[in-house]
Amino acid sequence: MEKIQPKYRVVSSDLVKKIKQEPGGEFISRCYQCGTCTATCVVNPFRDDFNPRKIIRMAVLGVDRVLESLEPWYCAVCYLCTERCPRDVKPATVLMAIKNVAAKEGKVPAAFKNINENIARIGRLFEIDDFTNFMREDMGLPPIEPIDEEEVKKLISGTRFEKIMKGEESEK
Amino acid sequence: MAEDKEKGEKGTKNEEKEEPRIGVYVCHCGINIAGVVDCKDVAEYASKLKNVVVARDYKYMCSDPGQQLIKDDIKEHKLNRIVVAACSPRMHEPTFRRALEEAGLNPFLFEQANIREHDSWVHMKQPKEATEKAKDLTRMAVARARHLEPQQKPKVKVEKAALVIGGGVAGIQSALDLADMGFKVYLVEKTPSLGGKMAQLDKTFPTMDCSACILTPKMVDAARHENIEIITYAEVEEVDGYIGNFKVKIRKRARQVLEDKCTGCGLCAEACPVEVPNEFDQGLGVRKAIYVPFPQAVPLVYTIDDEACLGCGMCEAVCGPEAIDYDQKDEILELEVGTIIVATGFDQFDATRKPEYGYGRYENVITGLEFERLVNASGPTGGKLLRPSDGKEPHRIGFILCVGSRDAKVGNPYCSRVCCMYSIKNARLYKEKHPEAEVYIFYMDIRAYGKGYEEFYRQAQEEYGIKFIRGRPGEIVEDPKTKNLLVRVEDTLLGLPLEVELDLVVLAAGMEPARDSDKIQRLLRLSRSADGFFSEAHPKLRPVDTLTDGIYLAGTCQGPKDIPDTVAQASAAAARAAIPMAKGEVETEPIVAFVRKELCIGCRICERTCDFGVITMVDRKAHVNEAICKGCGACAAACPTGAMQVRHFTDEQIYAMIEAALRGDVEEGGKEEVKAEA
Repeated sequence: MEKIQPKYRVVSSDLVKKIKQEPGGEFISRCYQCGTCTATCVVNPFRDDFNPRKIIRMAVLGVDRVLESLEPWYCAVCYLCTERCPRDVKPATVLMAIKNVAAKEGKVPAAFKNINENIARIGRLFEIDDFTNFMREDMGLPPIEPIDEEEVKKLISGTRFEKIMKGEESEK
Repeated sequence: MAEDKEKGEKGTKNEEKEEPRIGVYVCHCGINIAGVVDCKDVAEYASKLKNVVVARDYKYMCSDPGQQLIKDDIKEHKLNRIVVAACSPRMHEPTFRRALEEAGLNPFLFEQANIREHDSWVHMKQPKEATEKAKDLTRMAVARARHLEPQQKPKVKVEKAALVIGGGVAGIQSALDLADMGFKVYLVEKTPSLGGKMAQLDKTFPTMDCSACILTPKMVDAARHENIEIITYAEVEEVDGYIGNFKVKIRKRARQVLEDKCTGCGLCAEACPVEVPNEFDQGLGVRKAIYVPFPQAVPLVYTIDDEACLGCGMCEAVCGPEAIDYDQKDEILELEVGTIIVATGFDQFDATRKPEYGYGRYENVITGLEFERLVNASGPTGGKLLRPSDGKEPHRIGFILCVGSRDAKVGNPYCSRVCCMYSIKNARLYKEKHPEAEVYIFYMDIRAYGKGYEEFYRQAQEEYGIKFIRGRPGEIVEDPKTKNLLVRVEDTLLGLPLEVELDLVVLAAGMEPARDSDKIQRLLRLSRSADGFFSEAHPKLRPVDTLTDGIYLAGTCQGPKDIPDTVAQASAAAARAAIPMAKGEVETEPIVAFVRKELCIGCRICERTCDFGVITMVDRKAHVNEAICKGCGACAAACPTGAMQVRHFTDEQIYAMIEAALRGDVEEGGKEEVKAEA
């Protein structure tokens, strides 16, 4: 018979230190878990697995799964929570800091990696095809001109983009 | 009182030309100082300074054996100056001064170097540098000590009368206590009636006493008390003097109704054709241009609101006792009092500063104080809670806690301490009358810390079925048709975002320092803590004193508190204020300006510098009225010749300290080095 294993989450104090060192993550420890951010959030009504209060709580405790999870990446960065947070935690920028820590440790979720690769390759989130421009013409909008892909590549090569994407940043 | 303040120039034991014999004592303060600073090393260093006869370190200088050490050394080594390097003089200067006095030395021949607050506590991680700084501070103290002179503490008579500013429950309680002790009390209130905020409340937690029913008897007691003079519709304009002898100017605004003639019959208000929003009802109801704020007002004297009055003469026409006097002018009263109690209270947080809750835009979002008026029998709806938008009884009510409290965004990081309880009380009040109603309380933490409060909270949950949701609403959206309110909140215990539809939302707007605190602060030269409330002299041991002798604090002007705490503090303030008045005289600090006449050139710069009008010119020389001098030192700093000096802070003393700070051991071991430099 299969043995049932108890499941415990690992917590550590390292994570919150790392987040605090990232720009935007400085004020994470102020959070008193009132839930204003989640109650204000524009993404949450569409995705109840995106709960900024919970993400911040897990990050403060250093629950190990925060960096691996997709949750912080759903933030639309609309800053409404940051506008209303009574403790001035700046939840939107805290999530940004969490994402930066994850990226440095090579933990960018696959879906976001694809988007990033699109940007590096063609300078856009997704490819513009004839159908897109046809739709735009229908709406009276001018067509989208192609981007000079070489320029984009040159720009990207001047950044730490490749390293972060390959997860090499953390080894520094 | 000038003659009382006159200084005797002779010390008890000391003679001015005597060579200084200094004792230096370095305190460990347990590990508070010794954990960082090498106290032995500092004492060793001090022992080598010029004029230092003995230098020691000891675990607790403030303890009895510590003080005995000083006293014994004074006798044994014939010391005539004492330096203690320890905590802030705020803490223990009085302790050590007393020790000197007991050993027969003038208490002003003492200097304290602060090597705790100014050193070990702020340089915890740099013990080496902290030790060096302790030596610097001690050297500076020794340098000043060489120039110290004996001073006599002048004794001042204390006027056996008190001024109480603010006629809320705090002011009333303080006034009653002092008056019962036999002191004359002037109770000054800004509005036309005593009562304050407590008069506006409906019931009180956790006993559910009717607020007015327990307050109005006290108001009447105050009015009837032979030792209390109530001065309403009046404000303090000027405060001069010091403990024992405050001179106060009070502007008694013209009511345009003669207090001694008005019988409070109310015929005038019936006749008055002008209606304006009633501030006592938070503007929800109306009053006339001639009014009393509420039926139980004390004094029951009508007042004409100058801004609203048309001058039609209707009130004058109906007034039987001919109490209306349109030509009445403001009156300035001049009082002399020995002590002052500040009981100026609080103002409710302006909820429009939290725009996400829609107060001021959505009709059915109200504040706690508005709720109190709406459920009160003498309120604008006769005690029936009705929705402002349609006048219907609400079925679903939500109370939002911490509106303007614990909120860094609006600059109020503190807890207002009463909102949890008054909201639970209001929720229970409504549930009592409407058991079928749905009542929610949105909270972050419930603070039910007082006697009987937790039990009151438990009953609300268990017996009244009030639903507590742990989460701070992010926003409220109004349904434009029904004017119902959608409260968006996360139940943080479930991690579940909710949208709750309510008929009425009550914001538990917190307490803020009263709007005219700036003025009171300026008049009385009080200090304020970071939250804006007035500061007590010591947060634990002197909770009702201020740093100005003779001025005391009562009630919410010092910080948010509920009625029991307010009343307790008001009685405490009265007891404290009674001490100097019962004694009849107090000692004051001799630190005032004086003139070295031979140096004065009569340029009058000091006269213009002095903010208190203390300096006059007599025979073309500056003259200081020491009785009213505050000892601020502005004149001494401005004087171009050094003629103006402040006792106990003379130029010689200050320059000696600066010299010691900047040039190191100038008068000590480092003499040769300095000579080489020169």
